[in-house]
Amino acid sequence: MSLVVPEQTKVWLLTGVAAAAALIVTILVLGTNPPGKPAASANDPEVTSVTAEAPPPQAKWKITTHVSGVPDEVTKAQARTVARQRPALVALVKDVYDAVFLHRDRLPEELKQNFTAAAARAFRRSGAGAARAGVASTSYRSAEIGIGATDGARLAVATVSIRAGADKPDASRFLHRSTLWLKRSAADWRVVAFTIDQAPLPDRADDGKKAGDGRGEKGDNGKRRPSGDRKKARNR
Amino acid sequence: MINRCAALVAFLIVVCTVVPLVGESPQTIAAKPLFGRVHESYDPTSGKIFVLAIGNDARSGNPDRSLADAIHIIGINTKTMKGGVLNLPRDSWVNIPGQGSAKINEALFRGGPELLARTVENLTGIRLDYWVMVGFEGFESIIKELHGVVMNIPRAVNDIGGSGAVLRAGVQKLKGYQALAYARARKAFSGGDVARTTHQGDMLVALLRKLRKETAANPASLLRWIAVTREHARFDITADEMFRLGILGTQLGAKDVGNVTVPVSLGWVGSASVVFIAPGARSIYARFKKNASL
Repeated sequence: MSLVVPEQTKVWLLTGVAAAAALIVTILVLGTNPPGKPAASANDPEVTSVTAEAPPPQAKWKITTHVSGVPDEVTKAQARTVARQRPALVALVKDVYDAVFLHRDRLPEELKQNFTAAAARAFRRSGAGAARAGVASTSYRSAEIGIGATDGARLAVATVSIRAGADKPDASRFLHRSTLWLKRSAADWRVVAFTIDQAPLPDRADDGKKAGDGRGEKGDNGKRRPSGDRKKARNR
Repeated sequence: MINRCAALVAFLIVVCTVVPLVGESPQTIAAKPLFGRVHESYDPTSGKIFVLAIGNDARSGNPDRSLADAIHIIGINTKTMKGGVLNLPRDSWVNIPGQGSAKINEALFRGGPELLARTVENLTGIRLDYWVMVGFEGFESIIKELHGVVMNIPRAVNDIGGSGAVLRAGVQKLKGYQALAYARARKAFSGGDVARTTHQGDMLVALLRKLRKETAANPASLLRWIAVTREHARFDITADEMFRLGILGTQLGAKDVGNVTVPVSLGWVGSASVVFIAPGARSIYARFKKNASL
């Protein structure tokens, strides 16, 4: 028995095959990248839709240290012992207050590293800083650290003053003053107690120290990472 | 005969030269204030701290036989940040545990600061955390190195035949020797020892006021207070505990610290002049124990 295809059916069959072939060719052509053009990926800058905002300016830290608790003259041994503690204390102050005002996400870790447990709990409850202000802009940052010369320099007191506010045109500003009472075990300084006084400033015109006074720091756009080793000398 | 005299002289020379070099000199022991813990365990979270402040009459040449001339309980409520000084006259007739009844100041002589602390606890029902004891020289040295203490002297004092205190009335800064003389003066006052005890409490409050004023201006000055005290003291408490006590002191306002002397009546036991603590003192003890403030 032979298969006989009518002429009209032959025409439809040929048309269908041609259409299928055309479709296949089209798919193959569209799925092939033009030569010389890399594949788009998440790292492609042209694909990224979010751009980073410029960080707010921050005042330069003004930190002084001095020997405390000496009835008469400081001996050379006492001066050496105190000098060895300066870098760690300066770094501690900067790390803690940067976390309080600039990088709130780091605050829990800084409190854990630099405060006793009881002091850390109390500090979290204190409401220090500008938690709801978003990123803060500081116009003045200073600290004075007294290091006890006797008994192997194991006690210190840091008094800190910061003027800050949210980085918005009409944001209210405030003055933060605090005292940290610190003690040292081996190389580990910790805050055992603190006092905080934080109050709003009347208006921006009363800021005696504008951000232009040492606006930011060399190489610092407010995105400074915390010091990994508090024992190292830092020069910021 | 000559040989015997020479031997005696040689012996005296050796004794006078060698003996003072062996161990601490009596002058050193008499001068240094002492800090100690009354009980082995200390609970810093109870919210109340009680310190027994003792002034003994130890001085050069009399270091080991000392009576307590000043006995005060200092209370601090760490939650309300209020405090109190409760003064106990030295001639108070009390029960000394294991010793029978005697003047309270004898407890120090018979059993040291620990026995005196137990006697005070037994009397008041207040559990003490620390004791601190200072003699004449130690007290004068501390006041001197802290550059004096400002006090309001209610009436002019002339105790030239007793402690040597000669002071005008009014607010004035007392130097070390003046502060010691005022703290010891009793003959110039009609209230005698009771008045002296109250004045000693006033002086403790004045020192607290000074501490707070200086540390408000410069918090790091607390370190000087600690250094001065430690220079003249021996300790049985850690530096951390002393630091914490000092920090608490910086936060206490003098107006929030009451100064109360227990009510007493004069009397005699045999030929000894004593004071009997009035029954009304029990309510003072209870209030102080509950609040750590007066």
